[in-house]
Amino acid sequence: MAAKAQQGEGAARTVVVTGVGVVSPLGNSAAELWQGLRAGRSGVGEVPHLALEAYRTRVGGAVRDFQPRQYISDPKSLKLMTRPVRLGVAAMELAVRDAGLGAPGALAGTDPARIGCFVGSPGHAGDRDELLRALDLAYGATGLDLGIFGAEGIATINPLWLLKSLANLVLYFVSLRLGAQGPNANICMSGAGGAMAVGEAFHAIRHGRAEMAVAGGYESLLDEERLESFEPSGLLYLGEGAAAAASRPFDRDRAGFVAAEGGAFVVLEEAERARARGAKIYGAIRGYGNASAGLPGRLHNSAEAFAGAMEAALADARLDAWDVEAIFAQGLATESSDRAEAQALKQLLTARSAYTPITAVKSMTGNLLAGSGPLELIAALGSLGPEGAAIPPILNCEHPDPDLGLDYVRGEARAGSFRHILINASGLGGTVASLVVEREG
Amino acid sequence: MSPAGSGRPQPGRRRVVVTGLGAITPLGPTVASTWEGLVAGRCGIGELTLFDAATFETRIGGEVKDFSPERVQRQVKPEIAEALDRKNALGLVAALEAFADAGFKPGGVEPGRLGIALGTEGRRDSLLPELAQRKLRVSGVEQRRRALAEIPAWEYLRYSPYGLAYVLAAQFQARGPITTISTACTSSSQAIGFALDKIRHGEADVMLAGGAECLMEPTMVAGFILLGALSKNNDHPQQASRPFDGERDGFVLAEGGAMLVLEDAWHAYRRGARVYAELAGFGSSINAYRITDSPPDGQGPMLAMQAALADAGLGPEEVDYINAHGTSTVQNDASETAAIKRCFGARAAAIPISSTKSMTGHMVNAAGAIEAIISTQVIGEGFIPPTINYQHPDPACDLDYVPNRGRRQRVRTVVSNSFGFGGSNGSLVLRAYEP
Repeated sequence: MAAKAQQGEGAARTVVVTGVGVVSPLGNSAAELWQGLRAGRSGVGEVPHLALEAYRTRVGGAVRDFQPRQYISDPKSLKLMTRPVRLGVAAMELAVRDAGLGAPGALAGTDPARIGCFVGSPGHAGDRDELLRALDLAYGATGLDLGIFGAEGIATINPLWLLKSLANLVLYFVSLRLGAQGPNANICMSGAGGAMAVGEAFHAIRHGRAEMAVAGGYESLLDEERLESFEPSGLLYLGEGAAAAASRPFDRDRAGFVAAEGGAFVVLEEAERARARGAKIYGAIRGYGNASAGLPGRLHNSAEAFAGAMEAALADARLDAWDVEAIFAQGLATESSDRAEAQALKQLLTARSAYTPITAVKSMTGNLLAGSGPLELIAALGSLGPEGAAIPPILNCEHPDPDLGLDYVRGEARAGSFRHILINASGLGGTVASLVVEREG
Repeated sequence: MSPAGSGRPQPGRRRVVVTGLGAITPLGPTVASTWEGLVAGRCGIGELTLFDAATFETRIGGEVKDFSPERVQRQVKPEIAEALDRKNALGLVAALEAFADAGFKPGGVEPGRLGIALGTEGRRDSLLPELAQRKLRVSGVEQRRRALAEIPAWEYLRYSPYGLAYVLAAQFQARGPITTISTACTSSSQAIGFALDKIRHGEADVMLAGGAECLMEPTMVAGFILLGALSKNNDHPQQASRPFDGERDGFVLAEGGAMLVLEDAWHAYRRGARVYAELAGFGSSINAYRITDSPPDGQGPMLAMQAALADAGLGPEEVDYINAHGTSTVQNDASETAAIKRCFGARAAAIPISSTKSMTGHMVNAAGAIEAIISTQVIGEGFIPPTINYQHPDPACDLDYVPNRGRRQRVRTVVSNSFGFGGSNGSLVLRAYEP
């Protein structure tokens, strides 16, 4: 396939990551995430905040010890936020603090119109329980009476119900936090959305539309309404075995993805600006690509979409496949997705396919959908570097499948020197986004 | 920030043109019928019929007439049909029109070079009955479990925000870049901006971009009523949407689908495509202010217009027409007027501005796309649709809103605005195409 990206515009501008924030099943900081991943620890377990009796889901990747007030001080804002929104805003807050931009006035010298905000979001999601009283009033012997709903029910609903359900609520809070007025988007593309948000932020800076941006994603599948929709889909793990063994990407005995929740955000800056202010630099974003499967069929994932996104990201980075030293795969743990991705990786890496380590973070975190791409990007940034670098193992990958001679990292973390890592994030419906990161220096 | 210039293409940058249009709106089931309505100053708003809203504080809206999702479902493969609720079916109808209008046959574009960019949301079209069945009307775990077991496997896809993107990608075999953007009323404007970026930077040759909307569902209408956002002019539905008028009292929800085929200009030339206009620029900003309001000084909206003009390489003096966001809320229309004055200075009063929401109602997630289509038509047809229902001057809105009667006028450059809940703004610059 021909190189997709065009040479030229903005080629000189480098975009670096200067802040990371994570609220995840492996802990509520990037440091805990990195430790957990390297140790091959599973974050899948009981789901304390949900009563699951009526559901088929037994385990999930829940965020534990989450104290929203540690991240969100304004009580009025907090009242507008459902749990998934809180997870997203918390991860954003951690990234902003980590970048050294948390203090009042930290962005005083920056034009607000040059600060971008990009979020990968699950979309419109209200608190259904706030409708129940109105519904109860309107339900009589003959079923639903909309006359009563309109006349008496509506007045019992929280007037802010609609705002709480807003698809772009996290984006709003991100802009408010930084006073940001620049380019923005709220991308709702399932598991690809968060990685796309980072990619779009990267392009906005590279093409000169912004000089910095906050980007990331969030999701909670550990939510009644989400489980109701996803349990019948045939994609979700519904088994009753040991929690830590539930998520099995690239393993013969995989049984679907494990429902999880969390948020992950990064602060991106134009490199000169970051250096000038003495910011800590985790690495550079070098490439981003996005592709669709374009095939009918609910459960369809295609090797072409994985290949399309990875090739576009490499072309965007002006690198070729052999420059990539490790892969953070989507590793969804469904047969269709794992096979499509493995096949695409085999074709992409050709002669190096046996020597390029591949890991799958979801084996430890479960699937945070829009949160997973940014989380795995942060995981990859933690694996860059000449010293102490290591690629985390794929947990539960006991009988590799498909076994195409790929180098799945199994057992222990793989030490080495990693300069370029490619990250895949795929969404239901077949969309794939790929990012390429590069070590600084 | 905006280089005053000729708007000539920047060296080395691919140009993007509009080669196909498709729309289904309260004014008609096609672009042509919608445009006829706009030229005639007709209003598509009436009493709500999609559900019994007799006791609702607001019971009017812009519905698409005689539309049946089931009929659309029968025209496509079952795997695609299962993802079609009313909103997605409206989007698909508009996309089919746009794709055919561009002269493409199915499979007519190389799959890897065709992308999809949508502004839409995922919502249930029947939340109350579902909620009752799954939660309210069940007692005990066993009964609830049985209710949940009846949920169909396709539900997550049909009601997901990306369901329509999936439908269009599958229908048109698109394997290029794909997105769904949900920033309320700004969604489809930003989606068109996304598409522009992808073609410019060579990631696609053709992008199908647009939006779809249907908010005619009891809980959504209730939600907007509770926010005090909707007009309560139930007795005179045709006069309820009155942007910039002194007696405006809120917006009127509308539904529909609106899609554009955007194409690399060279790609369009080589295949001999008819070019409607050039999509010359896009600008995006966010208010960082209140969730539902734009700031009174118009700061965020002004930044979006400035960024769009800078992106197009045009100065404010080259703009001939503004298709306003003009929702008919007290606050939006005043803020937008302030923004236009700040962006265009002394020239603001000389630029014709109209809000076609006075006739279509507010298509929310699809608003940016339908207004981009209208702006394209304005350039091609040399006619500016009016702002209807303009009767009472408002000191806060004192520009030329093309009141009540459209104007025949040559228009080369249009700015089309969209501002949304959550504070996101998008402005598009469309321009008569000169190769």
